[in-house]
Amino acid sequence: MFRIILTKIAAGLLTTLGVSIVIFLGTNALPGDAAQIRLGQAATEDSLRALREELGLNLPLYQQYFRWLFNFLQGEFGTSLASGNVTIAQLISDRYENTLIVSTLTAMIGVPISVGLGIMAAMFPGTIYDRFLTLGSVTLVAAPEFFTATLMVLFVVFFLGIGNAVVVGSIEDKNLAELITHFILPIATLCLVIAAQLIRMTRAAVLNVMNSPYIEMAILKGIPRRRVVMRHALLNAIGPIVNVIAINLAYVVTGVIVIEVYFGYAGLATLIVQGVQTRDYILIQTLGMIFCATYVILMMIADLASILSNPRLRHPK
Amino acid sequence: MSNNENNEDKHYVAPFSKEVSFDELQDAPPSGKFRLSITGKLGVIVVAFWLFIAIFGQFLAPYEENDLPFPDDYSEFQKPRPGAWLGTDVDDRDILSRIMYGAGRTIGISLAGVLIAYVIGVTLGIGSSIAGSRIDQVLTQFFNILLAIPTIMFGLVVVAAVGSSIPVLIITAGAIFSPVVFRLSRALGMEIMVMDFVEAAKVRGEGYRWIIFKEIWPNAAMPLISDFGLRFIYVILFVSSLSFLGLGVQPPLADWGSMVRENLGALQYGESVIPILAPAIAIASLTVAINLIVDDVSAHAGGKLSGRL
Amino acid sequence: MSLRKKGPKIMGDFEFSDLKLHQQQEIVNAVRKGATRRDIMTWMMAAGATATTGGAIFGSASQVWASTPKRGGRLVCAGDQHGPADTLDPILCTASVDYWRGRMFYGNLVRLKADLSWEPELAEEVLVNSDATKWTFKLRKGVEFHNGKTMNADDVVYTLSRHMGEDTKSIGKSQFDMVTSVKKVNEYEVECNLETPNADLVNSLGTFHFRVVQDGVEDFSTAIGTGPYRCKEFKPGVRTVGTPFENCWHGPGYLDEMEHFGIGDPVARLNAFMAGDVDMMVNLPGKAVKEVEAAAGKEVWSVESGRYTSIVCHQGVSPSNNRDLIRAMQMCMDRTRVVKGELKGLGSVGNDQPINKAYFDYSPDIPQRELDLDKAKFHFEKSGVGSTTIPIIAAEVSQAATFQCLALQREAKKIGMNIDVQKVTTDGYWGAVWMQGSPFNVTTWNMRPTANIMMTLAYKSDSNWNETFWKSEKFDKTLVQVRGVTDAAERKQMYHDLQMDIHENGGSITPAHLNYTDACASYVKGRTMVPLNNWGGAEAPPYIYRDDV
Repeated sequence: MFRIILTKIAAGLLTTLGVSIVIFLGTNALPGDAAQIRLGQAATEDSLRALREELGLNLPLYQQYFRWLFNFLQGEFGTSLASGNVTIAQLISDRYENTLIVSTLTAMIGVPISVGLGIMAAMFPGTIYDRFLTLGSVTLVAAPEFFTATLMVLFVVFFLGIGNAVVVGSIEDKNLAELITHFILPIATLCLVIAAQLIRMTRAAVLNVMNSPYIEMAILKGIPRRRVVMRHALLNAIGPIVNVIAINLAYVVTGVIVIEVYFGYAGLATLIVQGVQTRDYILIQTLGMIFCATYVILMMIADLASILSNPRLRHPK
Repeated sequence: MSNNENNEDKHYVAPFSKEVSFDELQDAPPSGKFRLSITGKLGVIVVAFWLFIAIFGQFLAPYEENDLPFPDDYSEFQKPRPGAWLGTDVDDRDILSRIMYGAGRTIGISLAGVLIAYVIGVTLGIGSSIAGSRIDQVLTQFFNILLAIPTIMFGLVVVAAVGSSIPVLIITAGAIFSPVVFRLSRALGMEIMVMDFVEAAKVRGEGYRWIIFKEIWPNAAMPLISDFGLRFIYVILFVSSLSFLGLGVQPPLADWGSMVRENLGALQYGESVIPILAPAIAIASLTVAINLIVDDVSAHAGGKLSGRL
Repeated sequence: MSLRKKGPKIMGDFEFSDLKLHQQQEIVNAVRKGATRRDIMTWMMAAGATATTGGAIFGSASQVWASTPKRGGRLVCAGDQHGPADTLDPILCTASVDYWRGRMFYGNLVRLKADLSWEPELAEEVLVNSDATKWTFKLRKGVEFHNGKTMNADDVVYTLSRHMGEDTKSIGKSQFDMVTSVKKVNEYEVECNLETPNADLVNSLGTFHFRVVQDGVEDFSTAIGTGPYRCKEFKPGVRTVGTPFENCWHGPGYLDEMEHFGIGDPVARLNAFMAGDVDMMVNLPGKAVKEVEAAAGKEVWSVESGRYTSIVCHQGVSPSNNRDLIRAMQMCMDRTRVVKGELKGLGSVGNDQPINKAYFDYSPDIPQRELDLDKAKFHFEKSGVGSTTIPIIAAEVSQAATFQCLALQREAKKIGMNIDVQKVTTDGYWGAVWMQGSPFNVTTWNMRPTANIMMTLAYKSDSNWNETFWKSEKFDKTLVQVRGVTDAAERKQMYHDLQMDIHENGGSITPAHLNYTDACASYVKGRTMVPLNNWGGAEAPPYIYRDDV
């Protein structure tokens, strides 16, 4: 079993290395370079050449790659190409708090509620409650995020008159009440977005276990349905549920571009969009690596959880 | 379905514990004819309706998608009125016509994107599950790398690199969703490969073709079909997210996601909210309808599908 | 300064507060520029108002202008696109968020006013020799930087020399490249020597890239300037916070704190503004103007400007150098729809040349080109292009940039012209598409301080930004000559010829000039009206205050 865990970790590292190559080559394929973007309409031959040399854009590709990878491993993310004098570490540290607070709170609020709702739906399959939840979550899946967000703003801010339409200012300056009013909308919207998938998946995972023979046995033995779900089914459904949670958490950290743009706060996902817009290769590469590492780690945890919870996977044939 | 009595024989040959024999009841290929529930039938009707619009909508639409119903009128987001039965959009164009033009484009892009993802994912996934460990490891590792890259970020970089056009959107969507399909079909393949009736077939000395088409495919088809429906919806959402960032289907072309995006202002300052509700409802109705069908299919497939996603 | 003939169309009796907010601002702006009671009355009566109304309106407008600033309060300002490329280095500023920040923290040698004339700021006196080849700046004494150092000639020499030389990264380089040397004459006097005459140099020095920085400074992680606010926090792409600088030579900024950041998404920006989360916002979509005007306590802050959006026809390649095709396209352009439909009237119809009435040297005698499908058809048939697809590369580089192409495409279809609009993303547009050889693409220009600077940048054959690749010796010659002409009538005629030349022979399809249309809460006072950028030319930070504290 120790071997399995080590294999998983090794595979994770290998994935991360592969990702680094894909990301590096991908970002270099972008048209226009950082020097052009930075000078914009004002670019002239001379000023372009000067800036390119300063940024190291004239080196061969593989040299740029190794230089970057080596520095990255040492935690030296380098300087943002687009800004010239701001380090990437600085850019990230200006933003990670927003991302952290939104993703943590979404995870703390959204995940338990959605999983709970999903389990309840599985407990009473076919009832009105179940149908309402499944249909509701399907409709939510269908709505583009920015549409959900707009409806939320209209309802919460303009109709109820509470909360802020955008996040203004920095976290340090805010007391708890202000934190809540500023972040309530992005968090609520995100909770809705992930709830849709989580409810469906949890329900399906639990129902799936509920169909197994040993549960049928338990039900036949006369154990109350609630107890069957909580004591027997849930434990066995942990693997797939954790997996879905991990995917959704990775999404909350890396995929919330639309939410961040819409609620006007600076987070890591927006930073990558801005990186693409300014052709800031190093920024895209660094963030890409961070995002992928987040994903790999979360998936590793999910894998380990399902291995631990499933004896059959613990001892593969 | 296609399983013959050989399987049944095999079950009685092997010395199974009680628990395993329960297991095999459930894992055995689904039997009986596939029937739609009432909600499933409703789903089929709605999907058929949209498919009809997707194919013929542009011929039936009252205007072309960039045309103005009222050339002398400069006010946007108008209420429904004769000549524009769903009102006008942000650039004074006819909503109804744009929905009809958009149907073909939205459904077409998603369908093509998902098909690409499926051709790549299923072929390699099932292939990988029977091909043995070396190839399997390489492919799995490769797709894990792709899977680790956040979708929107991937889409953003690709579309920014080569410019947004419909083929680019389709191929990007295909590339983004193929790892998930690969993972699913590989998992399905693996699961079926270790099932007793397949091992029996191997022992009997059947070739790969037999195993793929007679053993794996019948068992994997239903879960794959229901996943296909979900993936389809994710592609619509993916393209609309790109539209939000200005990278989706480009004006003046209409697609539902970008219509929601460009008419977002109607909620704030529009005379009518139909310009945004119409495309949103179009997406929602199609999604819900597909899901209703998917629910039926996955119920038929034994309800195990979702665990594998 | 006399008022323009064309005022807002208003009828009957009404009060100042009945006017649309942007009309109010237009009048206040006129009063600031020195319009008299008589001017306003004549103007209003020409627009259909009674004499009493005209007089009353003058009274209210002067009142608005004359209100006394109050100290205190906090202001949250929402710009548009921001990101890691945000900078505090004046020579690298490219976005309106940068310009606003620059004005918070720095000062210029001279300051531009609403009518684009200039007044001394850090330079107390500006002297120029007769042929405009030597400029002397006598600096204000006792001006203190945020770190306590007193400004002197060294700082100014350093500031200006950063725009010079082969390797300079300055955005303002082309406005300064005729300067051969910048010399310190004494502690408070700086002298610039020019290769060729340039009477507009001083106007350039009032713009965004020529903010005065301290001698030798290379680190721009914070801003050490002479401006009314000091930089408390600067996080690129996150936010900037300024607090009043007590020792500012013209007094500290009025606000206790000014916070400034960008909200890239227009819908989100409007949400934030309407919800009161931010006090002012840039680039109000024309279609949302009604909504803001109807809301209590919200005002439109619109400044009429020479900014424009246009379709570039490359004169060096086919088919965009086909004169008849260009004429046909110009006549297919539905200008009214661009101005009324997209800009909702917050702009004016363009006439295929860059100079409009916002410029001092505008020539009103050029006939307006209209949508005329019959003539367009005639020219189109003469051009021999036939059913060949005409590709226009478009990106939403400004409001209406894409819209103009769609409006053109729609009309062109009616005469059998087959236009294909290829939309690309805004980011990377300037590097990857603009001036990269495509026959047709969109462009946008901010207003420049003078017509000469504008035409030199965009149409002089040797300009780096001659986007249409138009080469006309006659045009170039007149353009350089007119810089030295002092006779008013002759100058007027020459500028007329220049504009007419572009209108007739140039490669631009210019459907509209755009106002800078922003919005702010009613309590935001001390707004400027300089038409060079958003928020009154980003000139407001020293004056802006909250009326409700």
